[in-house]
Amino acid sequence: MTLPIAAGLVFAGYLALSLSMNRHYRQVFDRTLPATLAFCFRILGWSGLLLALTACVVSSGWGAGLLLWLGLLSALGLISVLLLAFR
Amino acid sequence: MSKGAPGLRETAPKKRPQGGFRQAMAWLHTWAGLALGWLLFLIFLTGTAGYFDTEIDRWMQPELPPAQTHLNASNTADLLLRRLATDAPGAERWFLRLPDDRNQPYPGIFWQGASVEAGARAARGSLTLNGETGDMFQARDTGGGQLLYQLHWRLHYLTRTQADVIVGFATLFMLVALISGVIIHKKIFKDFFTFRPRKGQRSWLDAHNVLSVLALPFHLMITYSGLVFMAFSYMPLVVAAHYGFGDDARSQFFAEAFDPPGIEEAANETAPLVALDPLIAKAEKAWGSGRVRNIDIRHPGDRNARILLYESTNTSVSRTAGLMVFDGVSGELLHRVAPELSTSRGVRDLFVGLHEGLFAGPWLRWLYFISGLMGTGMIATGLLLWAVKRRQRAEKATGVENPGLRLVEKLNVGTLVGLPVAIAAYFWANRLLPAGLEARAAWEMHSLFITWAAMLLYGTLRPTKRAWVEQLTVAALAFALLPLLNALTTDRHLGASLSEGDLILAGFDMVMLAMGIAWAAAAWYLHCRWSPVPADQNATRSWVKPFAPARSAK
Repeated sequence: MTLPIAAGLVFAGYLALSLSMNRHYRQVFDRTLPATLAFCFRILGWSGLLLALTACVVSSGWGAGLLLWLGLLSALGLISVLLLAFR
Repeated sequence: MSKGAPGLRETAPKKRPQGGFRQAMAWLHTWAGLALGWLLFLIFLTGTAGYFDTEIDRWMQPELPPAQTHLNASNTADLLLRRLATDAPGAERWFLRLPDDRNQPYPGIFWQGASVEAGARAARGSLTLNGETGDMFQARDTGGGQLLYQLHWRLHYLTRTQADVIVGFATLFMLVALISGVIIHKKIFKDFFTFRPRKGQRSWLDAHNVLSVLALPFHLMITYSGLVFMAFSYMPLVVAAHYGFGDDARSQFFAEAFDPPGIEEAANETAPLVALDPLIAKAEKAWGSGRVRNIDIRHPGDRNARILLYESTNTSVSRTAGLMVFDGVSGELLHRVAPELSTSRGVRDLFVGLHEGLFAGPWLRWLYFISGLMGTGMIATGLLLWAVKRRQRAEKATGVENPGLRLVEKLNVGTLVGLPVAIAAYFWANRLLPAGLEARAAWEMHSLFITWAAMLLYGTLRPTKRAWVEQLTVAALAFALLPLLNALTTDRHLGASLSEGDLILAGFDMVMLAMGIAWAAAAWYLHCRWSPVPADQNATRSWVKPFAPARSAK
């Protein structure tokens, strides 16, 4: 059960982080990113990734949990990139 | 590598690295990557397949039942011991494998130094047995997923030493390419999510960057730990400094570093072997039920017999496990070795464990597999980028065609598509070679290399673009038709395995089908992009193109 939660957190975190960059915000919303919004997205994004790390480590321990988290970062990163490119 | 189009010219061929650390690193990255790229592609691709080695084993021996990990350890050990007593009397060593997880799905035995006069099958041998009946499995001879994954460090036709030297060298260059790649990539975070499709060279560079950066922890881990495997071959002087030179010194080091404690020479006095049940019970009490993986009996039937019980390695990332050494006659526990002996041994076991991923459950295993594919894709896009960049330049210059560029293009199509096709051919050979063929397993692997050679040759005979489309089509058919071939040649077709809930066989068929579809999509995309458009039929072009034309740049 931890895995879908962690995966969701990583994915949401990645989307927020990508939207905190002007280039990708414009891709999605077609206007310039306000600075305060960028800050919020960044905080949200990093908290998503860190919460996911916590979930992985709590459920699987440091060794396997860290690996699970890194694996999710790689796989879901690829999906985020493709989503942004072919949205 | 992401410097924008003008900056990329800094790595022009035949140009010495001139000024600037970053330029020197770009030069190093380009040429180290190119020189060993195809070999590294083979290493990454077959190594990635290795994360599903026992699953591939299963598909390649469809006669076998599902994994027998549910069996009781004591019963299985008794069964194996009886088999060893009849098949390998008088042996110096009996080894019992108990099925504990996906890494060891069936019971098995292995023996050394048995006496043929006393009725042994052979002086040494190994068998996989059906844990339900105690009989030998009747299955086709195959190299299976094991031989396929061993390809990534044994290179099959070479000796161990030759392969070690070549693979070690390639691994070292992989590490160099990774580190220099990080140095020359100025905008790791800024370009983290950036992939701009349909922009030629720019798109290849984006793809290369994305595949490299997103799985960078995996790439670094797998490359560095790959070197750790070969530390003893590559840094023999560290051992020599303490143990001296020569084979004897090396054997002494390996014995001290890796041999279990408390082993004695045979006394040549017979004494009955103690029953295994109480020893297994003792070990299971310490480690948990079903966690005895291997039982190693030295000098069975001798007064100095020793029985070693090894714990499963599947709970911790590090490839360490507990060990108990018992007296083989009295059953007394002589030594209990904790998983970690020393820091350096612990670090080695951690890296080896990380590399092999034997501990990984299904989800983590898939993530390992995806990361491995991303590494394979990183190498492939790097090689393609080299060629695309120079092809664009050559077309602009309209000069004579560069033979080096042509060679790289031919090797690219013949390897980046040809090798996957060759791996599919390995699976086809498994189903099509006659069951009684002499050296059948070897011929499966020959089929892989013959197919690869044929694909390389085919690439040189066709215009490069035609070769890409045609070979991608071959790849699509080779993978997508594997489930059909399986259905025609065995009774374990996809419908049967799905209805029986046999996820391993069904999973293999479905992954092959998915890969076939992916290859077909690539073939179709390139076919549409590159098909010549007659001047008077421009209007019909839009329906041929499966993808919308490039969006306006932002």
